[in-house]
Amino acid sequence: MDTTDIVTATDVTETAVTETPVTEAAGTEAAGTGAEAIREKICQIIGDELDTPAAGLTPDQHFRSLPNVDSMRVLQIVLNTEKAFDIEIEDEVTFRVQTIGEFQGVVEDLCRQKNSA
Amino acid sequence: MPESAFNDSATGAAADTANCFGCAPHNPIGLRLVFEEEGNGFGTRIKLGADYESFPGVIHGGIVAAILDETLAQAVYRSDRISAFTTGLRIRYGRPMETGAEYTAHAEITKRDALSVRASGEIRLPGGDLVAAADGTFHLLTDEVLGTYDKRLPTGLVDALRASNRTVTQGD
Repeated sequence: MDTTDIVTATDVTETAVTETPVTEAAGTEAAGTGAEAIREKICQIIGDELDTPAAGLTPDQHFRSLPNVDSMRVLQIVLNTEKAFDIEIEDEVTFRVQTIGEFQGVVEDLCRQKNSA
Repeated sequence: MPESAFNDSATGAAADTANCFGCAPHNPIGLRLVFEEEGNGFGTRIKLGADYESFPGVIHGGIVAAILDETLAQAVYRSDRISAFTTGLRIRYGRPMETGAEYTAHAEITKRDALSVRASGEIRLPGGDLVAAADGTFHLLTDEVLGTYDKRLPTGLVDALRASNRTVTQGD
């Protein structure tokens, strides 16, 4: 398997569940959602997972060119980003997104949608 | 279905009729997963052979999903001893799971309300690399809810689910 391929995921159709007010588990504070804060947080997440300095990451960098990247780490980056911003990222995004900047844009859009809901 | 659902409440011994594909020790084709409390959730170790293959040497993705469904369900059930049905399950795969290799699985509750619980879980290599992840929603089958299911589920199933609610298993 090409370890730089973005993962292939299988979605199981969900049955809608009516939610009443919930009690969330502790430790799920969302990161700041201004554009700059989002970009910085994403670079931190990517840097931590790939063991590379966040300051050296730029929006035009392709994920495939990053050090230590493989499909497992890409999945972990997606999960850590979802948790940090309290969002859900669709599986097809992992096929569409090529660069750090594109990923940041997806997260910004999702945060914007969440905040306007 | 947690094996404890079939525990004899007087003796605490598991009934031989327990047959859960995920956790029953006597299901001849089952995964026979054994769970222990780990941190804020529950975990298990896995090592599967060629009987669970899709491509040669690769565990079937549906089996990976079954491992995660079982692990999440165990975390849900053991947190409050109330049976639950899976109503939604999202699986994401990071890399193929291989036959003959050892893995660990872990799940924790992430949200809870009176009717449902959400949990998330992962399968990892011994070194910690993420193999697959799951997020699930579970509908709690409290005695009150089961009362509304009387005519929609087999009687034996409703009785078994009631019996498993709040059951204290041997060793607790």
